[in-house]
Amino acid sequence: MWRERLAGLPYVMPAVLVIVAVMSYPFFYCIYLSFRATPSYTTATHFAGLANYNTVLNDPVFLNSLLITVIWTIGSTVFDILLGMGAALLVNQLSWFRGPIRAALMLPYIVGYVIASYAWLWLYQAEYGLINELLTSWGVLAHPISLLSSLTWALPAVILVNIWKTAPFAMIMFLAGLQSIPEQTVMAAELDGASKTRAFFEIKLPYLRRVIIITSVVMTLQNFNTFTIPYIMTSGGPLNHTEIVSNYIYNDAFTNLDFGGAAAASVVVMIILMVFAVLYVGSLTRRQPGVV
Amino acid sequence: MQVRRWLRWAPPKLALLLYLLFALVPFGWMLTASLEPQTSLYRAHLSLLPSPVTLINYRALFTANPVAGTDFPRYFMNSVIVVCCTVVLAVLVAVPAAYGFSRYRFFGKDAMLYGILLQSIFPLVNFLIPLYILMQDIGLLNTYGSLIIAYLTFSLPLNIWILKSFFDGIPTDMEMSARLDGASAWRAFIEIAIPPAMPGIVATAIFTFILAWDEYLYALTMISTSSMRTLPLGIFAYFSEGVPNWSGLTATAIAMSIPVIVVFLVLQKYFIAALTKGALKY
Repeated sequence: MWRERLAGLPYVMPAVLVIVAVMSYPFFYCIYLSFRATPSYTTATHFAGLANYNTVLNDPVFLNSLLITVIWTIGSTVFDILLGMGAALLVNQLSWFRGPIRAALMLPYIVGYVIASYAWLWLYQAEYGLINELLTSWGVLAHPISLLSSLTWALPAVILVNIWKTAPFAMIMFLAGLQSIPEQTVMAAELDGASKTRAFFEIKLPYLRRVIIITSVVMTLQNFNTFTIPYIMTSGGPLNHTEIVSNYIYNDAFTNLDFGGAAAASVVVMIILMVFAVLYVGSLTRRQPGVV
Repeated sequence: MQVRRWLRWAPPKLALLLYLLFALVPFGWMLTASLEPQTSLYRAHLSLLPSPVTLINYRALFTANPVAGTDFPRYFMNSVIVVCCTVVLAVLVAVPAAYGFSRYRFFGKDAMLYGILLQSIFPLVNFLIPLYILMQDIGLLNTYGSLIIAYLTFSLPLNIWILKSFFDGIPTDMEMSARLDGASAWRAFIEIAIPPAMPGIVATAIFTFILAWDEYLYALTMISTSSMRTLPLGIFAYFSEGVPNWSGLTATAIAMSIPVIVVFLVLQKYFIAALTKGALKY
C-alpha cells in the first residue's frame, strides 16, 4: 500500500522541486519583502510593518494603474471573445481553404507580443504611418496626429493591438468547441425550420457554454497579467494613461528601485487574482453533462 | 432568387475578408517597409507594394553595426540558445511529472497539481523581483542561465498541465500488460507510454518555443550587457539613434518572425491541439 503510494513521487519530484525553487520561493519571498523596508543604497532590509502597503495604497499612480488595468482587461477580453466567436463561426462554415484561412488568422497570435508592438508602432507612426495616411486621405483627420501620445486615443490604441494579438486564441478555442457539437443536432433543428440565428442561440450556444467560460477566464487572466505591449509602445504614457499594473510594478522596482513597494503592489495584485481564481474554480465545478 | 442567395452568401464572406485584412495588414505593412530602401519610406503617396524592391535591409542584418549598437547574428544566436535550452529542459522535466500525475495516486497529489495551477495565474512580474535578487546573489545576471531558469516559471506549469491531459487520454492497458510481463515501471513509462504521447510532447515543445522566443520582461530585467541580448530586446536598438531606423527594425522583426511562422505552419496540428487541450482540461 505505501509502496504504491510512493511510486509516483520520483516522476513528479524533479518538476515539483523546480517549481518550488522558481515559483513558490519567489512567491513567498515577495510576500516577505512587502513587509520590509528596502532602501536602494544597501542590500540590507529591515522590518517595516505595513509601511509599504500604506505607501502603495495611497499612491494615486498605483490606484490609477489598477483602473487602467481593469479597462484594459475588460476591453480586450470582451472584444477578444466577440471577434473570436465571429471568426470561429465564419471559418467553421467555410468549405474551401478552411485550413489556410485559419492559419492566416492565427498569424498575429503566433508572432508574439514584441512583434505585435513594433508592427503597430509602425502603423501608428505620426508622420508616415499607414493609419494616419489613411485617416487624412479619407478626410477623417485634417492633419496626422500621434495617436499614442493622445490622452484620449492612447489607451484604445494599445487595447486594439492587444485584441489583434489575442483574439485568434479565442477563435481557436471556439472552433474546437464548434467542432465538438454533434452535426445531427444542428441539422435536425434546421430541418425543423429553425433559422440560423435560432440554431446558434438555442443549440450551439448551450454546447459552447463551458468553452466560452473557460476561454473568458483564461483570457481575462492573460490580459490582466500582460506587460509587453504598453511597455514597448508607450512606456505607460502619456501621463500614465496606459500604465497597467505590471508596468507599475516593474517601474517601481527597477526605475524607482523600491523593491518593498513593488512587492506590496504585487501582493495586492495576487489578492485580486486569488478572488478571481475562486470564482473561476466555482464556475468550472458547476459542470454541465455532455458539454465539451 | 439569385439576389437573395447572394445576399445570404456575401455578408459573412465579406466580414471574414475584413478580419483577414485586419489580421494580415499590420504584418504585411512591415514586410513592405523591410523590402524597400529607407528613402522610399518617406514618400508622399501610399503604396502597399514595396518600390523599388530590394533586399538591402536584410543583407544589413548579417553584419553587426557597432555604431548603432545592433548585432542581429549575435541576438539571434542568443535567442536560439536560450529558447532551445528552455524547450529541452521544460519538456524533460514536465514529461515524467505529467505521467506521474496522470498514472499514480500519492500523498499530496492534488495539492501539488492545484498549487502549480494556482501559481501560474499570477503575472510574471510578481516572480521577477525575487528571481532578480536570486540571480544577483548566485551571480547569474547577464547569463543564458538566468533566462533559462526564469523561463521555467511559465513553461513548466503549462507543459505539465497539457501533457497530463494527453496522458489521461491514453489507455493504460498496454503499460499494465508490460508490467505483468515483468517490465519495470520506468521501462513501461519510457517504452510504452511515451510513443503514443509524442504528439503531446511535440505540441508542448512548440508552445514553449513560441512563448520563449517572444519573452520580453525577464530578458529586459536580467540582461544588461548588449552582447547577451535576445532578439526581443535587440530590436529596441533601432530606436536608440534618435531617429528610429524603421527599415532595420522591420527587417529584424520579419526575420525574427520567420522561425516561429515556419515551426507553426509545419506543426500547426499539434500546436492547436496543445492550445485547446491545455485550456479545456483545466
